[in-house]
Amino acid sequence: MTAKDLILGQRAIVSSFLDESLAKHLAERGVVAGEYLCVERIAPTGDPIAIRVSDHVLCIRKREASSILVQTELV
Amino acid sequence: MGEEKARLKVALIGNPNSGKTSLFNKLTGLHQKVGNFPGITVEKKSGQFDVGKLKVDLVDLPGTYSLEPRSIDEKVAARAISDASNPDHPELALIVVDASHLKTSLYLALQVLEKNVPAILVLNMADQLPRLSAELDLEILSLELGVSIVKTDAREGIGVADLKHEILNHALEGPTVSWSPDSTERHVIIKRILGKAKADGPIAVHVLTQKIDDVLTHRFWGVVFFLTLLGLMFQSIYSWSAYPMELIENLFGLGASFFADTLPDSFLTRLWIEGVWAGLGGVVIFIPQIAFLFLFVAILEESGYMARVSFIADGWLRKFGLQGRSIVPLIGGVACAVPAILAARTISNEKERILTIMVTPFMACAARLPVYALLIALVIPVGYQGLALLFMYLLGVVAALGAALVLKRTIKTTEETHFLLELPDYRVPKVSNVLLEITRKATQFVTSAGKVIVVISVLLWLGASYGPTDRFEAIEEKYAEVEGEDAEQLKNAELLENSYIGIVGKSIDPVIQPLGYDWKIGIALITSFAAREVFVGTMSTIYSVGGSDDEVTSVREKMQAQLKPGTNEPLYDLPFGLSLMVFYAFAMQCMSTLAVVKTETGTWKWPMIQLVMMTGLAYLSSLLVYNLASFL
Repeated sequence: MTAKDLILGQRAIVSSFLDESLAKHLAERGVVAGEYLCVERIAPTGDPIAIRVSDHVLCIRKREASSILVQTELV
Repeated sequence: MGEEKARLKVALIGNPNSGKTSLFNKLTGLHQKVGNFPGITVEKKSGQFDVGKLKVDLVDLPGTYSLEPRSIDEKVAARAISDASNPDHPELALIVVDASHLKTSLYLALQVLEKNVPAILVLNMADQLPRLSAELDLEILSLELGVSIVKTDAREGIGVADLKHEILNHALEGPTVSWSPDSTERHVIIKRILGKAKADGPIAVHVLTQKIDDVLTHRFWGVVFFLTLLGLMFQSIYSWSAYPMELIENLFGLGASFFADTLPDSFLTRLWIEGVWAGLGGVVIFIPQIAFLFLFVAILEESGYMARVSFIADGWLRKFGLQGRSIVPLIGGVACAVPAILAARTISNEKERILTIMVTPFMACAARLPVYALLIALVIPVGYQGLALLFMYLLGVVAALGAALVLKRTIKTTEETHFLLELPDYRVPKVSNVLLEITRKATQFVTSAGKVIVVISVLLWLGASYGPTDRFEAIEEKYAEVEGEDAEQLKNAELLENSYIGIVGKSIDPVIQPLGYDWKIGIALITSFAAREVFVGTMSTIYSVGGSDDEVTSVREKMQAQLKPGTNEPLYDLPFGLSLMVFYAFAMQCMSTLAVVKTETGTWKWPMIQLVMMTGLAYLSSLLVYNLASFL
């Protein structure tokens, strides 16, 4: 699944990226494979979303979120 | 005579929101100036300060997350650091690192260190350290990175003296790094170093920020707060700035009468008073609006709320090719497009910024209000007048968004359009930072767009005051014998009619006739280019109305009394009024806006496209409206 499919408050681990140029951008902001991310807020229009990752909160549009592959933790 | 001090070129580099600019302000105080980096419109802040025998030339590089540049801002920072032949290449880099986002900020720090530039790591917002990792071992961090570290809290000025001392004693050699310049490896290194320096514990969340955001990004209350704030912002730019603007107008008026009384009456005196001095007045008059708009923008930026604005409004504006931050220029445009376009700088994506600049002048600015007021009073029945005014404002919004929809397909960009925006922790804005930002923006406006405005103002004055000598002599002769105020007004009207602008106004008569205008309106359309509200003044000159206090009323009465030749119908009827209002809503008739668009985009291409696009749209729409209204 991708970060786009996460619901509000859900936590997941980044596994890989579908878009290489975006991956580079994200790496500069501390979003790399193995990091935890959590959907912290959703904009009033439903898009963009704010994710807590590494040591800060990042807003990304759903288009970007859909190219971040994540694994949810087993319950 | 002081001894010539040794100079040192120093650059600040760091992430956006790292407190770089606070540090810059604290280091340079008022000894700073703003301009642009050569050839591009990225703001360049530079300044000076002394430490011991050293004179430091400091430049604040644009905030960036990376030295592998994509956006224009990032390119400026990357080139300055990476390219030793770049004029802004520093002899010493101050890498500003946000202590509350140590992990993220170290990524850029490593990249800078890799460039082998002598550097000092500034651990800013050190007040946040206890909350984050009480045990952070600075010595280990310094040892591992190979640079000295200074702790600061730039907003409060804490640690700035230590930093100056460190600059004086800085290492002359760049650090030798032990890792290879590769993204994955940098992350491994950061993890290892933070582990060693005992800074890899869980990050405490800023609880207050979360609580505030629960309200401010709430799907209902967030929107309510946001709209209220926008309303307040608009209201204050509009009404608060009215007082200083009136003051400026009066002062320039006093200046003009002073010059007129003291200087001999000559061409040069008139050129100075009515061309240059009036042009300067036309520049300074914008400062209050710029100041108020940037008071808000700076507070929004400093507090961290601007990022939330983007977050909330992005979903709506994206459909039009704009983005969340475009909302500030758009709303600001209702007061005046000039400061609004300056505010578009907060949009980091180049395409979205250009698009915002291109459509902002459609918003119904304050200068259109007197024109609307006159025309509405002239042709709209009492009872519908308020509604008509509201409609004109809505028309501006619709035109702006519609134009964005069309233009977004035509503007090509090589820049990638990823939307990655940090929501920083909330902070109370620092008054000194806000005031310095306002000063920077006002200075920048006066020194860049201001020059163009003065030049065009002089040209317009020349065109309106001079005409073919034989015609002017004939008029002078005709009125030489006549005395009285009425005669003076009639003479002025005739002079304007025969001036170069008057001649052009008359010659465009065939072009504007299909819109329902006569040559008198033609002249007013051209003089309006100085500022739209000049329409009213020009009409009063043409109809020889004295400059009384209630200009709008007297011009309206004059215009109302005009009849179509050979009939009993009013010359300025409903179709005419509607057509002209639509023309003023759409046409690009503001030299100040064109000047500021030129300086903000760095080329005449965009203002020229704007001029053609907006005026073309105005012409076609007015043609349509006039014919529809005449037909009905």
